[in-house]
Amino acid sequence: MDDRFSFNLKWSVITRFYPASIILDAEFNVAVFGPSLERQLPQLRPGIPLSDIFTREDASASLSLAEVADSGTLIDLVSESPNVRLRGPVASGDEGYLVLARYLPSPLMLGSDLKMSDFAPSDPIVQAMLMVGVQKAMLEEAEEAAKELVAARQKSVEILQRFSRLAGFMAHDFNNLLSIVRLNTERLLNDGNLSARNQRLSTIIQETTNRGSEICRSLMTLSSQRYDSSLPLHIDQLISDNLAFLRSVAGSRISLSVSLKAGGAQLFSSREGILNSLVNLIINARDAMPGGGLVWISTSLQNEILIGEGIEGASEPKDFVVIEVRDTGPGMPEEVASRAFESLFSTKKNGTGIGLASVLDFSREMGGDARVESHSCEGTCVAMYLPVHLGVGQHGSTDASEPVSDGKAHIVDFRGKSVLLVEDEVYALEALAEMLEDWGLSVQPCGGFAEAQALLEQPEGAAFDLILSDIVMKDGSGIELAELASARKPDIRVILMSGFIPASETMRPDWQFLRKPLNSKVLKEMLTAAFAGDRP
Amino acid sequence: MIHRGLRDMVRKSHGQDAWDEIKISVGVGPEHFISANCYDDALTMELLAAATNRMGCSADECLRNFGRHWLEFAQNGPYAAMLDFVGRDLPEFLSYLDDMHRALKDVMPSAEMPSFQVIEESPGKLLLAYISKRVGLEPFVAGLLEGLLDRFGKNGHVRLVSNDSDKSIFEIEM
Repeated sequence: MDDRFSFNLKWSVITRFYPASIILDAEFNVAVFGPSLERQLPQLRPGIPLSDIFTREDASASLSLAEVADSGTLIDLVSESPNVRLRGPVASGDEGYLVLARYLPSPLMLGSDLKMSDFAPSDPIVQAMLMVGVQKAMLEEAEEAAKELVAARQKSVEILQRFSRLAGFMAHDFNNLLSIVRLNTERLLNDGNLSARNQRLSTIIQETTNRGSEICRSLMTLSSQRYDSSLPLHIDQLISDNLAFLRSVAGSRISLSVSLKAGGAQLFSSREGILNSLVNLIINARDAMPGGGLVWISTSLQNEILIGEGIEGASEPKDFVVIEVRDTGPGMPEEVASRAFESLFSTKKNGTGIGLASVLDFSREMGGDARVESHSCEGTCVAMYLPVHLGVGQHGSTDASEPVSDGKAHIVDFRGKSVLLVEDEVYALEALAEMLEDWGLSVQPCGGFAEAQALLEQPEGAAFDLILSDIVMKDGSGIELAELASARKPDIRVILMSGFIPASETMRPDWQFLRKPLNSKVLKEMLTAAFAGDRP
Repeated sequence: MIHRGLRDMVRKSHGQDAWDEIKISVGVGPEHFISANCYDDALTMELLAAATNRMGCSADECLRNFGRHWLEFAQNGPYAAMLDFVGRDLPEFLSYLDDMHRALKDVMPSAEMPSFQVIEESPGKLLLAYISKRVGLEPFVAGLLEGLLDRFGKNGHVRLVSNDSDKSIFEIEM
């Protein structure tokens, strides 16, 4: 059967589907070409040899056009300047040859002078180029979105930090007020003429003040700007001291119990980091039980080898304090639990996916690890493994900011001892002055930095035995005042008070720090310790 | 891409705060601004309505302005090369718009694209048919066509000459 067919097709139709088509005469000179080629190759003119414009780069380039005509062989025609590449079969006719050509794709096509009109409507190159365009646009948008996200997160972090500082300052100021309430309640309780009823009421005020102070202290700790400060601390004591705050985080529908069995084990860790981690874990537990439930915080000691990413020295067993937070919530299916610590992974509608990831990051930063155990309908337990700094029975310097009472009663006669008392809260100043005088001390009260500084510069400024000063005052720092006093009289004793724990490098080793709200018993012990070596 | 264009217009004309208000009132987030995604028309109309409200102009005026702005946004953004590819001049661009939409639909099958057909071309004048399943967007199309006139450096006018249930005809005078 003859496989040749003859049809009439308008040149405009041919060039619609083969825009780069060329008709050659019998001598292979250009006779007719499509409007697209007219645009792309201005040097192309009827009558010029095809070989003046194009070179053949196909595999059968050694064969002439006449030899490849009607064979279905695709020829590649390349023009160097401008860079145009064509491909198509050759058909022979009565008066010459027809090259049914299309443009060959090149990576630079988008952005070149080629337009859609230079391609057949169904040419896959068009779709490919548009896809490349869409993908390119998506990549640019992804980059833009990532930058926006980073900026938004940075803004959120800044806002959080600002609120955190504000919360800290508010907690500090509130704590100062509680300190005043507490001091004056002690004055009331010290009154021998107080009725039994008023004694009871004063005790209630004092206990409530203590609980309020615990919450304030926790808030101040969490909002502290010294996020990277690690200190030796007793984990059981830390949790116990902040229990009221942690209960407030859990909320009224959650019953929070503790079982603290780390004994006297110490960690060398960040107080803020541990509290932040506990807050994150309690919030997760609370959110998993919107109708209410139980949460346990427990501590224990374990000796084991921790194997995990980034754990150093994993070949030897070590002592770890294990802090567990367990809930009675619905638990997590395995595919969720396996990703629980993954940054930005969350199953909560507005979850950030940061909480658990930060718990893991913190634990590893402290040289430990974190694990999660959870099964559907069986609750969730997250355990933080933190390396022990000093075990039970070992002694070392504990949190340098907290006073240590050895429980023994030392008797020191305060008579004849003089105290420069500096406190810018007037009611606290009044209550403290009265208390110190009741104890037999000679007290010079000053309502702020400037007043105390002026006094220290007087001849009598060298006469004080002890300076008891608030650190954060409106008109100056108690630490600076203590330095002035020490310069004035090198053997002056120093006790500084504040709701904030000062950076240890700002405190001289022989200075004492008393945390607000003030505890009169602790203050008395500190004064006793300060004067203990003096001869009467 | 329409959402991104709208966001760009509001930010440029009324500032980021205005856009934040619109975002919050409609309840959209970053996931609603991915170009390769298709969104429910209802959401797009809600955004347009909120923008109209915030910008204090009529719906038609807002749509027309948005049409002009959207073209500027598309040709100055990552889709510039794609738009360049469609055509060298206004008649060619309009003639190949359907081909471009067809190719885009292969990439985004759930996208609903309108159709544009040049039904008459004479020196200084074009008659263009606009066919779409969506209703009420003629002002937006008029704005787009005005934007195209600017793109190809032509001074001209765009006028809606007929608006039937199956198609709208625009006259473009250059």
